[in-house]
Amino acid sequence: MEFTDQHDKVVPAPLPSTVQVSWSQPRAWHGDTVTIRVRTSFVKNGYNIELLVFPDGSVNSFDGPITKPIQNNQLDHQYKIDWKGKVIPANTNAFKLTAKVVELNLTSALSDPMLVDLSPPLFSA
Amino acid sequence: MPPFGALFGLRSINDPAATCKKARGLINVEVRAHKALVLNPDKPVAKVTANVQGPDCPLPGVNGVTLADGRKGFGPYHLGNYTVDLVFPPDIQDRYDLPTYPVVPQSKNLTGGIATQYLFLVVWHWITFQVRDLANQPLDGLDYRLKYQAPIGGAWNQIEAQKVPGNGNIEKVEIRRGQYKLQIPSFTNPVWSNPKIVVGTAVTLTADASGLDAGDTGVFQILDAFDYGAVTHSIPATVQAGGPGLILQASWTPQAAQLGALKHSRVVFRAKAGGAEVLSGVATVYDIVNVPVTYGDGSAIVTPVKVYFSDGTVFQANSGGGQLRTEWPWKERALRAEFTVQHVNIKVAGTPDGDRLVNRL
Repeated sequence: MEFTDQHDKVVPAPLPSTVQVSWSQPRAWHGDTVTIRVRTSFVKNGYNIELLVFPDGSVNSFDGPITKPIQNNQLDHQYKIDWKGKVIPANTNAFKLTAKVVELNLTSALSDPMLVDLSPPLFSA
Repeated sequence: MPPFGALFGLRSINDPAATCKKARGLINVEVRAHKALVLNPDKPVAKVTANVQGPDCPLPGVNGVTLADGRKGFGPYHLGNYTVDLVFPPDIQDRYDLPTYPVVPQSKNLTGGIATQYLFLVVWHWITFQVRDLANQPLDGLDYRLKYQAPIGGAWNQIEAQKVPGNGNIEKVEIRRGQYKLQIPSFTNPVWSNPKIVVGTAVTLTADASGLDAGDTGVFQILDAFDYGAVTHSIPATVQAGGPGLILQASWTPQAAQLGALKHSRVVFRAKAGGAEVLSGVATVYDIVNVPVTYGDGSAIVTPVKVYFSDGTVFQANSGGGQLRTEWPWKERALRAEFTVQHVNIKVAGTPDGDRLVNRL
């Protein structure tokens, strides 16, 4: 970012923050513990991150918000896939995340999906 | 060796011009600078030439230069009215707003036996950059560069490279008139030229750069998309002009040897330079594998083929000449293949039925 002005001025230098979120693995089993990784730029230490888990294709989260403070523009949150008490649309096996910087009201794009086998497997004859 | 009396500033009592020291006075010139309309804090100004004119200092007067404490003493002089004026040397005069707040010569009658103060207050030029986040809170610890350009234009010259202090304010005083540019390195818009990365085929990595300078060196790190701590490969890069501004860009032709530590097909890149970094989206690495597609007797099967891989990707193409040129996701396993036209299924290595190439139904 660049900010230019002449002498004898107070020059505001606002920095646009960014936030990204991702799963630590492409697929997992129910009961596994995976890492949710948040990476930001220009976010102060101690700001709170809210994590939401969505079924792929849905705008309604079924887990969260999980709130954690961020340090040095990164947060690695250990997340146990324990959705027994959650209401998840039938036949859903891909799940995405968002991360929101609460103090900035800034929400990430949806993460890439993580596949979780929730249905009993079907075997061929 | 001077006369003994001269060492102590004494005069001979036989000298008819001798004057009692109490009938003489000293001049103490002091120059200090501050922000306009704000007297504190202030700072001494050195290297300013003070010119004294008076009974003992006829035209063109006596000159002296202020020291680090902003002061310069003159005298002792015979009593009378003395005028002190200042001359700022060219190398510092544009640090002070002398056109708006000019220095006015001061005339005072010296008092015998003491130093008469000539205090000059001048106004310095300043600038303050307030580094804030979107909630208007100070951001600190960021690398920055501060550059200066003369009022007449010309080149930007870097005058400082530091980290933003705790209050988020980069405050500079006693600065030269002109333009100031604060640069805080950052990257945006990291993109692969093609999200399908093929071993042996060049791909371009690009990130828009800001707060950096053309020629700055950086690096693209190829990372395991699921383990940002695992750097698979590094590619040096240089900030250059591109698009509307600057970019960090490099071409990469992935080689199998560079991907040995990668456990699957998904990668991201991290662009880094000058304390800034950004992560790209996920891309998939493919290898080109020619898979034999034949009947048991070795004769070629010509058919559309669909191959399902362990990373969830599906490859579809036509076999020909007994082979299928397959874009095989790096280190992934083929789970199933479908010969859609001829209704033939095959299973490839790792299936419970063993490694059979073709199983006609």
